[in-house]
Amino acid sequence: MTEARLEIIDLTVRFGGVRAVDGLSLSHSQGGVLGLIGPNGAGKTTVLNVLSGAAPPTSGEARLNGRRITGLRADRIARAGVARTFQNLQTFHSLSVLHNVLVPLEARAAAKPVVGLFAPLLRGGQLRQRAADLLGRVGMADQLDTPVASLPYGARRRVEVARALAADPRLVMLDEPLAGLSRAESDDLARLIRSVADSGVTVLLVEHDMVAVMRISDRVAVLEQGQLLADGTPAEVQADERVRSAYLGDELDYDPLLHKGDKRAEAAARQRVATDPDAAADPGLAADPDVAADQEAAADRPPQTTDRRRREPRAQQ
Amino acid sequence: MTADTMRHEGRVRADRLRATARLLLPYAVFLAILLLVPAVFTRVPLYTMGNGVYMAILAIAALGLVPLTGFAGQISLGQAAFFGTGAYFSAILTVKSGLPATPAAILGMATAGAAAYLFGRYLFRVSGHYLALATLGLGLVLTIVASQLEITGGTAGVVGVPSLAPFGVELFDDVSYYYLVAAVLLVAVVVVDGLVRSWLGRSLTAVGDAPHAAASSGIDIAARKRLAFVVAAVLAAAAGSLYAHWAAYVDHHTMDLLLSLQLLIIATVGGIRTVWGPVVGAFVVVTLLQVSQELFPELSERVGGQAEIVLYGLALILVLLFLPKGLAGWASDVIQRLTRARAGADEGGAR
Ligand SMILES: Nc1ncnc2c1ncn2[C@@H]1O[C@H](COP(=O)(O)OP(=O)(O)O)[C@@H](O)[C@H]1O
Ligand SMILES: [Mg+2]
Repeated sequence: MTEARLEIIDLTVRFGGVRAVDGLSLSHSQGGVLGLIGPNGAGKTTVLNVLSGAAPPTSGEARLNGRRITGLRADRIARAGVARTFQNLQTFHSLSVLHNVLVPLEARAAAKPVVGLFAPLLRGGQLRQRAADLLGRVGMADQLDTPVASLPYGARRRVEVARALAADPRLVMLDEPLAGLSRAESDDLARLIRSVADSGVTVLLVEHDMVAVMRISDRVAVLEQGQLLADGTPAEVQADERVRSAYLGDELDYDPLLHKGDKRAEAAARQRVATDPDAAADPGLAADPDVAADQEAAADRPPQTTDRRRREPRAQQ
Repeated sequence: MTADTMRHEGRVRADRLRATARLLLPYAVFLAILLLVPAVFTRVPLYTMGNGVYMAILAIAALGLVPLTGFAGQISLGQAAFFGTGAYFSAILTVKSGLPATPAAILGMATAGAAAYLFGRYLFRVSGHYLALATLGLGLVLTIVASQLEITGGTAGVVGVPSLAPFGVELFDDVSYYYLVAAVLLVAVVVVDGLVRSWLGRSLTAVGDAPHAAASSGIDIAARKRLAFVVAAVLAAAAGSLYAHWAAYVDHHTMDLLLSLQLLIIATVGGIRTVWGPVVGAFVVVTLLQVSQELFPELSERVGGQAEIVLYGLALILVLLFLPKGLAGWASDVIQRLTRARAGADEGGAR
């Protein structure tokens, strides 16, 4: 597989007076995991929405392997090799685990000319096998026929990741995939993300769990108020003064990037999260009435705390 | 080892047989009920054979709402407009142009489908509740237009629509006409069931469940919604054609908004995510219609001859409150729970 070459060129997204993304330029062609971090409201989800076709940019553009993807319909972008998961977890709740992953496989099979609509019928067994394999990869092999709605939160997250991987994407964008997972689940998923990247798929990882981001990313870009604040290897970014102050104001003594587990730093981080309006709903999609309804359904969204020990996998109804 | 393999193969075969049985059993029950209706409806006091015909026609028209509303989550308030298209095409083409009934009906269905396709091309590019409002407008406009044009016979409508004579057998009474509409209903149920169980049904579900995730999975969500809309329009037109030949006349009331609402109520009360929903719903709604006319004729007078609307509303509220999946949806849940409990008991016993 050819490495994905992603170029974001002077991208701006405005919502009324808010510049969610403000003249962002960023290129990435070396594969691996590109971590995208930044405080809540920095514009990370909005970047993902533009790259996946869920939201139009105000100006600027994005290209994948030289081809302009901004302005394309979301399904066309998906076909060009971009897949994603959602911060507010969007599984197909009336389908089984297997069928959730079958959907993108069938959509891709149906996109073939001539045989078109019949391809998913003719290749049904093959597609099912592929879906089952993918689910095995995320540890869901023994729950293929379970309705996804009856799964606990962490398992649904994994189904969503398997669905994103289904159509052989070149670029997978994950929006806070580790949020709300237990420690063990989070470690497993982080390992999976790394193995996906090692298999040649470029991963754009938005994540609040700094320890995980720094561990699995090859490169980290930091957004603040829609602008690129810093960009480099995990070590470079961790050492960057501006990043540290953006995360903690002037309290450089308590740096969550470096001192995970420091009580006062975590308390400060929690406070910051608690006062952030983003913690209530995913604004990246809130303007769309369809999605607003989905969000009500997905009221089981995990708390956005940066303290991993406070997270618990939540049992779903 | 061979014994083991044989036992395994035997189990696989038994599983497959059970799955097929599970799929076909509802159809066997349905066919039996369809065949029993004439015997029952001609004997019991509340129903007439005409009720049986009307139920089947309403069920055909409401069936399209299963993929459209139940799966893709799109609400249409204009199904009566497509029903009316089928009815007017059949009436005008057979009465005024002397065309045989079958090509007339096919032209009506094709026109309704093409209109839905073109309408959908513009509508589904924007998300939200535009379809409900736009189809509401379409229905209202077409009703007025039909009452004004000369070709549709103005407010008088088109009278003298000939009765049907498939294979030379003239269907002049309700019992014989019933067998025709019941056969069409059976075919329509099979087709729609096949659609929603196929990968297309799965992608419609995906669109209804999480549109952004569906689009990011490579689904052209506008095209999927449009497909469901076209299917619903064609089915409504087919039902309209059958109605025109049965009632022998068509006027602008045939595409009244009340019919669109009635179809939505039928699908919702019966269960909008299963093909059995519209069938059960049509039975309930026609029963309520009969009850209101037979038992409360004086109430009917006081509210202007439409007492059934009160009962429809009541049924809708009760179902939405207590059986949100509709009667058929609830029944299938109960059956599933029972079979699972039995399977569990079997397994326990084997151990
Ligand atoms: N659909 C929207 N309508 C209005 N404002 C939005 C919308 N989406 C995002 N925003 C705003 O844009 C900013 C960036 O949001 P977002 O991309 O979700 O940030 P992040 O994912 O980094 O937390 C926030 O100030 C948010 O309130
Ligand atoms: Mg976000």
